[in-house]
This record gives sequence, structure tokens and C-alpha cells, in this order.
Amino acid sequence: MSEEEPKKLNVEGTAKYIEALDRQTDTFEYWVTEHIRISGAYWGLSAMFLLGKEDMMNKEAITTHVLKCQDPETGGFGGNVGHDPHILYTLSAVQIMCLYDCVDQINVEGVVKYIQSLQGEDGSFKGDKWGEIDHRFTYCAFNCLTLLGKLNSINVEATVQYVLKSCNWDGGFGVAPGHESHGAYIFCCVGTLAIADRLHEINCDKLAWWLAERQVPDGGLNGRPEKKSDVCYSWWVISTMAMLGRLNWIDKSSLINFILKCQDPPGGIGDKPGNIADVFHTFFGIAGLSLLGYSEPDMTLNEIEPIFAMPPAVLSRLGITKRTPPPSEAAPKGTPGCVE
Amino acid sequence: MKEYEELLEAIHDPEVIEIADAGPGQEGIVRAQDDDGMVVGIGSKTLKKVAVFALRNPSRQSDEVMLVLNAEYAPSWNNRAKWIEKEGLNYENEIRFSNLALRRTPKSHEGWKYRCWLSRIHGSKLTVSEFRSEVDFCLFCCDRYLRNYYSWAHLLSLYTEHMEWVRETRIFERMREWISTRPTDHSSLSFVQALFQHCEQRNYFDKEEVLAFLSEERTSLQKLMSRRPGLEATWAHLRWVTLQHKYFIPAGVVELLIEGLEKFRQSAPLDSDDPIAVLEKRSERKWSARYCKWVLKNAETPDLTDEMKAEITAADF
Repeated sequence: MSEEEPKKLNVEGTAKYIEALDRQTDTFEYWVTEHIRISGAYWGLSAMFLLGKEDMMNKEAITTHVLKCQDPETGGFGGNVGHDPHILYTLSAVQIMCLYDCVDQINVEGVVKYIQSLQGEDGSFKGDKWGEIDHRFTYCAFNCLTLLGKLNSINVEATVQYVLKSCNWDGGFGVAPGHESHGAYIFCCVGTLAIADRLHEINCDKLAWWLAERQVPDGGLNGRPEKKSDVCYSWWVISTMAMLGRLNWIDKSSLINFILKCQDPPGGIGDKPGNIADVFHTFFGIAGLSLLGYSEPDMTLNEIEPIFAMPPAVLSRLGITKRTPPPSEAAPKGTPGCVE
Repeated sequence: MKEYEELLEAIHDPEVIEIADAGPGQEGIVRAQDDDGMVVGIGSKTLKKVAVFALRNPSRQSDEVMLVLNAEYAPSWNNRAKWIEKEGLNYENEIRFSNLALRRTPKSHEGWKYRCWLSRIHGSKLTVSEFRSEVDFCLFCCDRYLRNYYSWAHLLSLYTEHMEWVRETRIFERMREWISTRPTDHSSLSFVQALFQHCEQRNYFDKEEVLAFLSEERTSLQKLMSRRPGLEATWAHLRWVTLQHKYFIPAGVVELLIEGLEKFRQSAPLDSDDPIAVLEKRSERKWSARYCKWVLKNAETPDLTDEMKAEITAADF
């Protein structure tokens, strides 16, 4: 593919890249990421669902491995067999089992009790027994419990108030109240509020303006001011824009071109053009392309729902109601999506 | 394994202040003395061999090795925390060890998570000298890796837990000096904004101090923006400074907005052979226009003329 030709998504190469990951057991990268293996499995599997290639994955091996990661004492899931439980991996585990429609095989009550044990009186969530508080864990709790139909087992109102307290002067959200606004934490907080159907309580315009400013001259998105673009913000930022009903505030074609340029020639997507692929950026790049409506004459990506990062058909099967975003506004002058 | 043992020895050598990368494609472990102390360099090929050896041979020592090679490896931090729960905290020892890990990977989220946990369990025993050292180390890491999210977050948590040391450590003055030489460090400006908010909410400042603070922020921003007119970080901070004027010096809002509008008017495309100057001018045009639009929408501007409002609304770049 020459530099001048517009790039296309290398579907076959990317599917082969993902499918081969679990066989590369003797690489340095495989070893140093063993503690997040279950999240890697979710990213890889979800990417394959979006590509329509989920049948290339070994359902039996994946679900068996997931079940071994549940800690019988706490009910939470670790990142790999024998690893300490954490809310991040608990969500990934539940997401995988939902994708495969076998969530009944896990100890659901155990998961619920584990997440309940992590909620503080102020509505914040710890990640694990060591007490770190971070809005990723807020989102994990809400997403996970909603997938299990158990959101009301926690104090939803306390968490909503804690999230609203975290809203900064620029409309964004950081790791905890008062901290620097960050694209990924904004996704977590807006996702939480969207699940709780409380988006009307934030200034969507102010936040969407800040998010639109994440688009930089190369067409990609960064996560906060003065940072370089990174493919993962193609998910964090635009899924949030979709939740806010303001996806049109981004220049979609520039972003699509940026994501496609981040492909590694054999297959997979890296964080920036020219960098080596990894499964995290591969999933979020494909998810971003799906949300942006990317397609080719011979290929369409499957849909992804922006709040839960799951296929709409899976959510529908679980009985999760589709949330309607706030009414959308035309892209104001000064945002990349404005074409005046 | 020889290199594994050498690294373990370096970790426990009090003379060693840093474990660093010796360079891509290099092998082995070397020691070198610099102005601050002994630095141990590890080649990239050796690093991978030692890390895989440590992961295949789990032990207390291999956790230490893993963490200085890859501070993001959370299970090793968890294991270390479990030992501390059993044996008790030696704060000085833990600070020295986590310094080694964080110097190599200063933006490591797991490393800073452990550091925060140490602060929590050390709690009220923290002395002013330990506090100052912690602040200095945070800033060391912030300098090593600009816009270091978790280091700034830890620094904010330290100050909000110990507001009594805000004045004593002259942190706001220190931040003005900081940003003058690192004008793209948006995180440092976010830190200033958040810390000011905490101080203001807890009535730490009296009214004169608030007005003096805003005046100094405005002056130092103006100086910085005259040198570097096209930076998103400084225009973003100007939005915040303008918003604070809304609360404390309402007349200042329109003054600042008119200054911003004037910068937009003067930032016509530059005809120059210097591509960097051209880019900075283009950037100034974009950010000054966005600043004006943002302030018009988010701060009250009753004294602004309709003509100026129309000019701002129509501003293109």
C-alpha cells in the first residue's frame, strides 16, 4: 500500500494477529502482561466480534480460563489464574461471559458481594483491598452490575453524587474529585451517569467542547491538552461524544484516516502511526472505527454500543434498555466538526 | 542467574540511586557514578532475560527485581504490601525502594498507587522534612516526564492532606517558576487550579491573598504568553483565570476577553520562512478564537458590546 493511497482496515491480517496472540507464550511481552491476561482476552475477543471473526477464537478455552480466575473467597476475579482479585478484571470476566452468553457459569452472587464490598460511604469505589480510589472503578462497578442485572445492590445515588462532585471547571472529570480532566476518566464518569440516566445533570456542551478540542492536526485525538494523539482516545473520547449526542463535533474522516494509519502492516493497530500493534489499541481502534461508521464496499464492522463497549445484540439479550443520548446540537464554530 | 543476582545486589546497595536503561541492543549490567550518586545501567536484552527469569521464579527478591524493571507489574507491588502488613512499615526503606522503581518509570500508575498507599499508612507520622522530600521527588518525576498525571495527582493529595504546609513550602511561587520553563506542562497548571480551589473552599486564604494570587497569575501568564503565544496549556489556564475573575473581580472578565480578542485580531497568518513561527502564529489564532468563544459562553459578560459578541461568534481560523 503506497503512502498516497487511502488506507483500508486490514481485516484478515488483524484477525490473524489477534488469534495468534495466545500462542506467543515465550515472548517478553506475553510474560510481563500475564497479570492483565483476562482484560487482554476481553479486548481481543471484542475486537473479533466487531470484525465478525469471533468463531476464530476458542470459546471453550477462554471461558474455562475465565472461570479459573474467580477467587472463591471474595467472589472477584483476578487478572490471571491465582492472581489477586480486582474490580477491573471482574468487569472483563463478566463482559467475556456475556459475549459468550454463559454468565450463568460464574458465581454471580459472589461478584455482587465483591463489588458491594468495594463501595465507600461517599459513593466512591476502591479497586481492591489496597484501597485505591479511581473513577475507572466507579464505571467498572456500574457496568458490571448492570450486565448482571444487579445495579440496585449498591448505593447508586451516593455514587452519582460522588461523580457529579468530580466535575471540573472545564466540564471534564479526573481520577477523583478535583483532579485534572482526562479523556479516559471522562469516559468513565459520563458512562456511569449514562447508565444511571443522569446525563442531564452535567453541562454537555461545555464537556463536548473540551472533548472536541482533543482532535489535533494529524486527525487523531489526545486525552488532555498538549499531549500527542493516541488511538485509544478514538474510543474514550468519541464514545463519550456519542453518549452526549455530539459525535458530529469531531472531524470523522480525519479521525478514521488517523486510526487506519496506525495499523501495523502485518495486522493489528498500534497507538501511533509507525508503532507496533498491541491488542489494547487494536480493540479501541476498531471500536472507534465502528462508532464512526467506517465501512468499505466489501466490509462493514459490527456495531458497538458506546456506554458498555459491547455489541447491542448482547445488551438486548441481557434485557438492558437502550439509553437515548441528550438532544444533539450542531457543531459550533471552533470545533473540528463544524463545516461552515 | 548472574545478571539477576547483580541487579538484586544493586537494589540493596545504599549507594545506588537509580537503575537506568543502558541503551537499545545493549547487554549486561554496568555501574557509573554521576553527580547525585551511583547509577546502574541495564541493557535491553539483559532486562528481558532477567524479567522473564524473575517471573518464572517467584519470590520476594524476584518481586523487587520485577518492580525496578517494570513498575507497572501490579502483583509484585501487592506482594510487597502483604510483607509490610506482616512485618510492619519501614517508611524510609520503602521510599528508597519505590524511588528506584519510579526513577526508571516515572509515570508508572502502579508505582504511584503504591506511593499513595505508603502515605496513607504512614499517615500522621509524616514529618515536614519527609513531606518536603516527597514534594521534591514528585517534582523530580514530573520533570522527567512532563504532564505526569499520577505524580501530579499524588502531589495534590499530599497538599490537600497537609494544607498547613502550603505557605511554608511556597508551592504557588514554585509553580510559577516551574511553568515559566515548562510552558506546555498543562498538568502543573491543573495542579495550581485544584490546589487554589481547595485553599479557597477551606478559607485558607483571606480576600487580599485571593486577589493577590489572581493578579500574580494574570501577570505571569501574560509574560509567558507574550513569549509563547500559541500554546493550548496557557490559553486553557487563561480560561480558568478568567473564570476566577468572574467570582472575585467581575470587571476583569471583559478586560481579559478584550485582550484575548485583540490577540486574535493580531494573529493574522504569518508570512515567514520560519515554519515554527508560522505554526505558532496559526496556533495562536486558533486558541485565541476558542478562548473568546469559550468565555462568551461560560462567563458573564454584560459589558461586552454586541459588535464584539458578533465578532467573537464569527471568528474563524
